[in-house]
Amino acid sequence: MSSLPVIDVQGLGKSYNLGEIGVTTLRESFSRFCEGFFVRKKAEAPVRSGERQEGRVFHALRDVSFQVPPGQALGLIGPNGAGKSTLLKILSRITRPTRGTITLRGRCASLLEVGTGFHPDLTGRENVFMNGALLGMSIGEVKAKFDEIVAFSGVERFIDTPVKRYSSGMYVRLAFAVAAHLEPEILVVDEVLAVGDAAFQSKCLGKMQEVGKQGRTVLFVSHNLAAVKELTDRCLVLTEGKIIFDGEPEAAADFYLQEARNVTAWEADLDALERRDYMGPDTGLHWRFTGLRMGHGADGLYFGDTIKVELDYHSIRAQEDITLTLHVADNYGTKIITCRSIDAGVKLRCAAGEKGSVRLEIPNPGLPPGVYLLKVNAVSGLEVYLDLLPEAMRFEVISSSETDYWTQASRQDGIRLPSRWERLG
Amino acid sequence: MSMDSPILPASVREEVIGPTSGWFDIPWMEIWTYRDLVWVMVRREFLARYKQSILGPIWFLFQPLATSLVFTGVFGVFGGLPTDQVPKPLFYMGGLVLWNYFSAAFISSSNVLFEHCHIFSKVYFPRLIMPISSMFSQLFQLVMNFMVFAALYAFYWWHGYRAGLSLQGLLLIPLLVFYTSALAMGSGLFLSALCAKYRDVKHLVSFGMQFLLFCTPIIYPFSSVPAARRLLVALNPLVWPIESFKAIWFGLPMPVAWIGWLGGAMTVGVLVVGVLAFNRVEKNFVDTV
Repeated sequence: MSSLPVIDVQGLGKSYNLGEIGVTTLRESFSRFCEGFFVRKKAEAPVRSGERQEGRVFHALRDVSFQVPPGQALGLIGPNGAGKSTLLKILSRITRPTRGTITLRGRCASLLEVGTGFHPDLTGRENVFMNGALLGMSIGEVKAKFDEIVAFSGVERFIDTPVKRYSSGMYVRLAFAVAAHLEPEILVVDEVLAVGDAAFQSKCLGKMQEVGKQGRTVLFVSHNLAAVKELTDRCLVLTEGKIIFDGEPEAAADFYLQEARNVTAWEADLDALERRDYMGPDTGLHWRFTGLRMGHGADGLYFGDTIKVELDYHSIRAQEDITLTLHVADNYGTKIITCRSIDAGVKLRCAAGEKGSVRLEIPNPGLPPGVYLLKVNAVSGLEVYLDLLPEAMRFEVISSSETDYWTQASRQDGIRLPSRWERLG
Repeated sequence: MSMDSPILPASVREEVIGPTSGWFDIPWMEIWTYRDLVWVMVRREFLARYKQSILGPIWFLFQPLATSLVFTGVFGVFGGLPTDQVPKPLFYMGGLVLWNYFSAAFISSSNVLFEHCHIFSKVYFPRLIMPISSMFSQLFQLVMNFMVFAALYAFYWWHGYRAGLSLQGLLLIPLLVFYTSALAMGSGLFLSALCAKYRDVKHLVSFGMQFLLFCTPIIYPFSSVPAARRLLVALNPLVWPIESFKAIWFGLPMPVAWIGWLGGAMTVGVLVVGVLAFNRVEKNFVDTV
């Protein structure tokens, strides 16, 4: 028995003009308009307008097609800039494709961010209604589910407090609770689970699994490969706007890791990475990471080598009391090591416009061979996220050239640290 | 696919997302299903604005009164402009009630894309909801302005000023408000569509509003415009509602019918063009911010 796919994507393409993205000034439009009339002028003017018209066109998505049958949980993975966000934006009807179509059969709700439209001055209660209405619920629906939403979030005591007094964890919990109680036939979820504490994350994952079991169709995008494996029945790998793998989540994850291995670089242009506003729209606006470099030997980074990282930043506005954090995560996105500048007694203070660099070293972190992910963030004071990059760079640790069995590092061993041993008695 | 995969009910609605299509695909039905959002947005705007100010909405009373007194001093006393035998502060206030509403509503709907671009880039809903709800939010300001006007009116009444208040005319006031809202929303949406494409247009807004204020019979009565220039002045669609409003309260003759028809036709035209242009631009707007 076959039924029509719930999501049917046909030849989808989206392109952007690089450089000046779509913005023109009246003068330019006017001069282009005039060029049409005064043909003679055209010979003198091609430098300006020629640049623009030839302007590089960036294809965020090229000819993407896939179908999702009802009740399937589909995962979507791929490196930064692969087009995942663009695909989600088109699916969520936030922007239109340049070519191709998507046919959706059923009510579709997408969760690209938790807490969209939350206003800091309004209370938790008021924001629940606000957010629910934005996600397409009627006031009656929100009322009916209100108690359930509040219970799920666990912020009962503070429901009549303005959300600006919430901790960021409470904020995210309340926001996710609203979204979790939507009842669409199709649920599109971006990596909203990257925030929140571990207990809450597992609660969210549970809720999503429940959604999948109810026969709804889920499209889930994540950097967390473990979550993708756990939650989805099928997974697509997207690179440079094209689907390069479509199949079992396990196989897709392996395929993706294989790809990632090949692209290990020792520096990354963090300025160019897209900021995802998990922590509000200001992420990367007033202070941002601009570059990252890693020290390595001629053949790469061996097991046991000191990890040396240099981070460049640009402080657009004056900021003080900045704590920098670097996480080393495994390739699935699970954090293994956390290093905070505050542990070394370092808090940055930056003048407006200041560009600078910091360097940190992790002596012999004991990471077994494998591919790892660096995550960085900068927080001002206790709560204000200045910048957050959950996937700043990947690097690989290679096994040392030692041939002795006992000195070789093995992935199964986990982290292996130098330790002091002495015989007693 | 396994046998037990749920089968969609036959009635399920199908939606096709494609490249930007025609100018006329306005999602009316969807706007209706999202109607609760209008109310929630109005409430949000209101609560957010007053939560932390002690005087709250009282500020709205102060501003029109102050403007009206400044006009009295500058144009009435120094400038010596006529006011149709109406006490000067009252005359200016009468013009300002709808003008202030128009100007606030126009500015808020022309900003609607940029103001909410964060929300627009994260969640879908029919975008026209935003300008519609901002119209309703501005109605509150209209009410406050109107209260100042009514208080001033009562004050002069107390002191023996007897204007020929037209009671039947009062029935016309909802129409005047509707007309002004439609004009403000239409022109505001057109401007917001233009701003999305050409950023420099927004620099014209404050100048344009000032210019329009002087083109509208607020600091002077329409009756003082020389007959030969009346057609030119009446090309401003704000003339009809503002003149009618004053005529109703001050017992003056209603503006000639053709001014109403001309203004009404222009308002409908502006509204249609504004909504279509906004609807067109909104679809790919998030790519440009």
